[in-house]
This record gives sequence, C-alpha cells and structure tokens, in this order.
Amino acid sequence: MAGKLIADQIEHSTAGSLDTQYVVQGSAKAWVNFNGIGTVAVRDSLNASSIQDNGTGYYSLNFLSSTANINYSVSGGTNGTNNSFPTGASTSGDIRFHTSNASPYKVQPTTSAFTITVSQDLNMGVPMDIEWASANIHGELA
Amino acid sequence: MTQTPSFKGTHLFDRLCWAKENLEGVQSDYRVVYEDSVDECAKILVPDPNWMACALQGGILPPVWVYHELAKDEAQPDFKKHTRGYLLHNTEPVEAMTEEEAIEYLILKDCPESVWKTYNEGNRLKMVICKKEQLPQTREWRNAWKISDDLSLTDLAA
Repeated sequence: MAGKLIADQIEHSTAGSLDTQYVVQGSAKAWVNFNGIGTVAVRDSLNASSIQDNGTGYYSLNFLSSTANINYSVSGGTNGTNNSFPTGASTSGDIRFHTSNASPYKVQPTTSAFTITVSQDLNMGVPMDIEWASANIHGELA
Repeated sequence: MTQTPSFKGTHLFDRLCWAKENLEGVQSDYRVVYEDSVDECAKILVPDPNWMACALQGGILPPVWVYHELAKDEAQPDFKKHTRGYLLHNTEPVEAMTEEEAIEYLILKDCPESVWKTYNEGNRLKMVICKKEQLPQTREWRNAWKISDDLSLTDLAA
C-alpha cells in the first residue's frame, strides 16, 4: 500500500511521546452498532462479517480478522430501552458479553465470535430487544 | 468502480480498514435462518453491510477454508493461541462474488458446520435462505420462532 510509515515512536511537540505499539495495542480491533429490534440489522461496523439474532435480547457478533486467543476485552452499551434513541435514559437495558448465568446464554467465546445479551434487570431475568446497541473489542489479532 | 489494491500478504485487518475507507456498505435483503438445537428457537444470520461490500468488491476476503482451518486449531483441547494466523493474511484473497455467492460464503463461515453439512437431512429442514420481508414483521414470541414444517426442498428450489 502507498504512504506507509514505519515508526516505533510518535512524539508530540509539547505533550511527550509514546511508542506506536501503544496505538496498535490500544485501538479497537472490531466494533459494531446495530438495531436489535424489528428486522435486526447492522448500522455500521469494522471487522464484522455478520450479526446473529439468536432470540429476544440475545445476539452474536461474528468477525473477520480473528483474535489471537479468546482473552480479548469486550465493551459496549445500549440506549437503555427498546424505544427510539435518544429517549432511553432508564437504568434498564443491562448488557452482558460472552456468558450469563442463565441457559441458553452460556456460550463460550471464540476467536471469531462472541455473544451479547440484553435484559431489563441485572439478573438477566427478562431478556429485552434493544434498538441501539454497540459493542467493540480490544485485544491481539491473529 | 474503485480498484482493489493488490493485497496478497497484507494483514486482513489492514485490508478491512482500506475497505472501510473506500467502499460503501451494502445492506443485503438476504437472511439465513437456521436451527442448531431442538431446544432453542431459530437463529437468523444477518450479513454485515461492510462485509458484503468487501465480498462484492473482491480481492479483500480470505477463502473460507482458512476459517475452517483456524476453527480446527481452536477446537484442539490444548489450544491457547492461534499460530496459523498468517493464513488469514497471506492466502490469496477471493475474487469478487455475486450477492448469492457471498451468502453461501457467509453460511460456510458463520453457521455451525453441523447445520450446513446436513441442512437437508433428517425429518425437517435446518436452514433456509430468505428475504428479510419473509421474516415475521414483529418480534412477538421471538423465542418460539421455528422454520416452518410446511417448507420442503421443492419449495426452496421454486
């Protein structure tokens, strides 16, 4: 590819310097923003091949450039309700990744997929579809 | 149409970043509905629009067998970390696909092998490809959705 820069360090004029490895390690390796109600659809993403609608409030994200191992970090959030953004501001819409304490949500993550569960309460008692959900992963790529 | 650079040997993530910058996402109307457990409801695979753009463009995605090889490695009981990640980056990328070919690729990549290998065996279908308009328009009783018993291979061929 044209315009390639090879550098081990980036230096700011006043704010110090850092190793480029910090940038590589600290950047999100995949992210997705999706609509989980109606006909589930991805709004935008990076490094995703598909999203899977597994049931009420239960989704999987499949990605393309696999991670080196399953010990990657997943984070994300929802708009809190299954109403349209930005009206959701309640404390509901608890989002969890990989596993939960209730079957069938106990799913081991893989290097190319993880699961997302959304519920109305912290005990994952009432699964809930969500209109605005997002997730991203940090970690090492294969 | 934007020309894909020669990507052989380029890290897959870098190829995807190029695609993100240069290609417009393509929302597919296709959905893949499958059942992989009698105790669970039907699952619906939704193609990612940026991935679909890569598939239609060609020269970006690795062949699907690469994912199967990595899955074999990951299934080993002593798996700790991928050591053959180079397969993703160094294998010649696949040529441009039609949308239908892309869906086939996606099935082979993201559906369980137990589903796509035997989708038409047994007493009922395990998998169907449909348009999103053919899915229920509300998510009422979502956890009870199943592939209709009325569907047959003849219907699918029609």
